[in-house]
Amino acid sequence: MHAYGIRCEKPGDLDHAIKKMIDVDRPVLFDCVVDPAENCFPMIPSGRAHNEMLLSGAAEDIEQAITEEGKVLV
Amino acid sequence: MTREMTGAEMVIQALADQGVKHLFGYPGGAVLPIYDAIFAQDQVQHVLVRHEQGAVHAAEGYARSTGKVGCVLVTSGPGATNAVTGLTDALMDSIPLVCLTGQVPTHMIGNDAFQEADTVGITRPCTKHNYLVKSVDDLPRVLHEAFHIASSGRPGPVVIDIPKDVQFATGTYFKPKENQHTGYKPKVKGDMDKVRQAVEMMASAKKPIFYTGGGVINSGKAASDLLRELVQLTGFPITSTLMGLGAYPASDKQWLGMLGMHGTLEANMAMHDCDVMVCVGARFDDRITGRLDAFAPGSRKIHIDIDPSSINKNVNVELPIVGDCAHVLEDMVRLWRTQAKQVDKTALGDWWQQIDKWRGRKSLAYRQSNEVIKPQYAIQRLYELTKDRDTFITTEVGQHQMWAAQFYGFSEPNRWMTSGGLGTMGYGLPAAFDGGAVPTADQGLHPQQRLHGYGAPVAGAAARRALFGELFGSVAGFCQAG
Repeated sequence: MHAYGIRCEKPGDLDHAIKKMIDVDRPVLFDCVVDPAENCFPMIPSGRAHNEMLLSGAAEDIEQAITEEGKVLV
Repeated sequence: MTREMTGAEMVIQALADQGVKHLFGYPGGAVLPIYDAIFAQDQVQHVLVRHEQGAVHAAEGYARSTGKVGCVLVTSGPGATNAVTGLTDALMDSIPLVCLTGQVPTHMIGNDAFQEADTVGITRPCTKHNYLVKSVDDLPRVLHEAFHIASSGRPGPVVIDIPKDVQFATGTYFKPKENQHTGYKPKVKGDMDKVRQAVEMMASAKKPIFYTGGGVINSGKAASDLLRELVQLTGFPITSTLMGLGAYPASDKQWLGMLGMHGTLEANMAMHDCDVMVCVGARFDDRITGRLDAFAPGSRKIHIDIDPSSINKNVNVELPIVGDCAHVLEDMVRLWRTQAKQVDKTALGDWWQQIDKWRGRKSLAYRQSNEVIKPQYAIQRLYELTKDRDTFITTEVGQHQMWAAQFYGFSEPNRWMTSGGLGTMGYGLPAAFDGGAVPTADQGLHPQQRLHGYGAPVAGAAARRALFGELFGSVAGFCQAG
């Protein structure tokens, strides 16, 4: 594919790396190394109603928030 | 105009007559005559993939980014079975595809022949419709019908299984006609009485919300324009499913963000507390509703959907309107204007105040770091640095997909390609081949503009989790297809 590779590990380098990606005149594989501990919030825990959302401060509550019925859901 | 030609030539001629410029495929013994026909002409360009699943996803990207039917060509047996994941993906997300599969010659069918599979049997539950063409005389009709079925009503994938002897046989080809399929005429115009009731219900609302989905995108650009007009006329808040992002601009003040499992707090709370819900081209998926018995308990619901089987499937609604989004929205806008509908401004003001309180919780907030790139930050920067360009985004499935949906502010339809219903990993890269490379010519831009343009597959790599963690906001420029 004659691709161009970019690896970016630091937040301070990100803008420059994205601009480079845009400027390169061929396919780019951009390996953006991000925080492995980050979780996706907010969320409706399995089995809960849509007004029972967990926000990012409540990460440790996920296990408790999922109901017994919720555990069988995908 | 009719003409004598082989079945294989009919296939390519029909594609050309249907306006197809690109065909995604992988060759094999049972489709060799069709490949020979491809090389004998230059109207339809073949894009070679490395796996049939990728061919279907590339065609999905093509369909999603252009609004046209995506086309796939695979061989019999394993070619067809490898396409099944892509076909199921397209069925779940209502993507119009025509997938041509080779088949062993008619006299060998049922004989456990080499590379034989019961393709129509296997694909029956994962296509909108499928055909096994046993005579070349049926082929032109079936080819044109397939395009009609794939693209009208609720779009979906159609498989045409063509035995190799039918590809070699000679017959009479005819061009597509009007009313190609007399038995399949989906209702596009909504019942006017119901549209009138819907407008009344909306005008009487104190806590209204628009809940829109992929049906608005599928209905075409006009549907998005009409949706914007209606939302602005009414002053109502609007949220959208994953599949509907881009129909309404994320930069607008009436936009609440995506709803559902990883939607914003304000979108989900407003859905829960609303008194009138206007669902346009969405299907009350389990990712949206959460626990069903607590879903929007005090609401009256209007559900606009072209597929009658989506009505009252998960959630009972007070006012279903079967029809195409653009047609129904057009009628709604006209009625709202001509009847000079006014909402209860005080109530709507109070509703917006409540929404602003939820917005104030900043549900998408994350802790920034100077040491490590936060995935949300990566998407935010990608958005900021590409928002002034015509950017197409494709994703894989999982957390990075949700972050992309949350943090990339789509402003136009057909710019966002993601596997929603089936949640198929392996979708993002092939879809990007097309989400960027091919539409160029079709959308009237100089190919170089888009070819070297700004498509960005945002890929999460669960397999590499041990090494780097869940997400790689990996961003690539377009790969030239073929």
